[in-house]
Amino acid sequence: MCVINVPILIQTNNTTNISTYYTCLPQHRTSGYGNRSIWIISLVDEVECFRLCFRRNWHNGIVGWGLKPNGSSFDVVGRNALNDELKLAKFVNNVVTNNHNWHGYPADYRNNPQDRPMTWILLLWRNNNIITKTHMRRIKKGQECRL
Amino acid sequence: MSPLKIVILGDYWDVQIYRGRLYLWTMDGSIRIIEWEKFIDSLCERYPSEALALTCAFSRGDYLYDYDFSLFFNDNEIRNILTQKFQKVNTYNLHFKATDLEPYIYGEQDNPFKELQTDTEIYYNKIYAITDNALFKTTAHRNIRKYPVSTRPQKLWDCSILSLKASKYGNIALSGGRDGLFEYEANNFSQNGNLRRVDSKVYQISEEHSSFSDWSYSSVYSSSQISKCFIAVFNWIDNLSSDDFFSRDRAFRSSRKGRKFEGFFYDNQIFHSEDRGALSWGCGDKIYRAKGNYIEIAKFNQYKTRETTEFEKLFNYVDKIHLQAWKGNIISAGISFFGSIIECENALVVLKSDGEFVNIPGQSTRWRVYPRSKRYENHLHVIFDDRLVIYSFNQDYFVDQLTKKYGMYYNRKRN
Repeated sequence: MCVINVPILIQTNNTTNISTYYTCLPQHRTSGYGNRSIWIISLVDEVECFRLCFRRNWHNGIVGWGLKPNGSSFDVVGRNALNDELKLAKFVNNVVTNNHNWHGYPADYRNNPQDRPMTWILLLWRNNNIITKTHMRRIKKGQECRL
Repeated sequence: MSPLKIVILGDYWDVQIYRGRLYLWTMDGSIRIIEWEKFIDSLCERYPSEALALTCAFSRGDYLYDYDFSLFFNDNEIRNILTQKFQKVNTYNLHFKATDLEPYIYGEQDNPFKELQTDTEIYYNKIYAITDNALFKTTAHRNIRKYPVSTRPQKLWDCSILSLKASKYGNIALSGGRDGLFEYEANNFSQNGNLRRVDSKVYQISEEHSSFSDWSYSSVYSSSQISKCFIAVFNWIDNLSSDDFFSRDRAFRSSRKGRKFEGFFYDNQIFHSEDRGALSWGCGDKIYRAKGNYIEIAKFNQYKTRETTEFEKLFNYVDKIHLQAWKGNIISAGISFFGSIIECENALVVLKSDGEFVNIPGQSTRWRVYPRSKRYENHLHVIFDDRLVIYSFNQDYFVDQLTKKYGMYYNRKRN
């Protein structure tokens, strides 16, 4: 069961004894927290989006990126303060001693430079035929991109 | 007249052409430098009766712009012969595999920028590149076959920039999205008298959102799909003292020139109406605004900034033309001498200077025009998923430069 603000154990690495948790934060579930983007998918789907990112190594241990595949395209996962649809998700790791505690939010790459996926993840997605080179360029340049 | 094209198969990310060399960045992290003139010469040998058309189309775009040729073009028979020669080239199969270009490779090396860059410009033998977090420059056009591009790029500024565009005066406009519009002084001339300096040689022009930008002489046109589009009008001023004026050192005299910021003009002022959701862009003497099924045209007169402080007089509204619906939303746009290029969701549309349109279907990885170039100003390079297509537009030689609606004014200088 997914509950807001309660860390969900994703996995424990038996070799390193490092546990990875994911927490759904309320700041990205309701409006009223400034200009933050809002998830519109369920808590379960939010966690599943992170699991996919984690399983497929769409992260560098500090920041990760997610998509919610739906056939040959991707679902909308959230909206920004202007009600624009967002299909990318960004996940951030808050490392505390031996526990990695991730949280995430819908990434507004067109308006927020810090939400723009880095080249290495875009290239990884392209090389795995998840996105095209056109998508890659449009995201890097902050252009409209229909994923 | 249809554009000519050369197709080079391959998996490319970026392209530039400069001083006889074609720079191809591949997706596997390398850069391939092709001796372009040599390659075109080989095509001329293969098709000798069309050597003039091939040369003008692909390696000497400036040739037929020469003022003296305008006398020839007044003769309809000569125009027809030339037109037929260009059209004949279109019947040839100019499709090449990457291996076909191996005899013309000057050098091949790892991409010095370590990651696939967001954008590049080449100015004064330097490649300027923006990556995820910085602006770099490195030396190009070296005479070292192993490393024609220097492997030691210099970081110029820590930044997150979406697009860059060099002017012919040594300034590089940097569109920083939400962070605004900036410019970098690529040369050592003092050119930014009254802008706020944010870093060494980096000045902020505006805090307004900027997706991409281009140069209208000494002014900059900033385009945004999220916020207002505008032109930042600059005027050249002379900082010459009476002693400087008589200096024989031309570079020194040029270094005493400055650019003075005069003001912003927004697209709703230029086009006399508000139109939310429309995108406008400008380069040279032309400014366009487009949305849905129309395009509006305005002209910008940089030289009038010397005569008047009423800057409304700098802009002339020319026309509004209704067109078939665009191929999806407008993503970006640009201008060269041969016309205006609009990138839609699913196609590139070229509005040619002779009034005709060319649709290039498909989603492009990247496209470039080279209006600053001395020889490739008639090129449009388009990278698709599996190939690079080099288009050459050659109708502009025969078009009245003063009255044409699409494309920048070409100043045919007398020799």
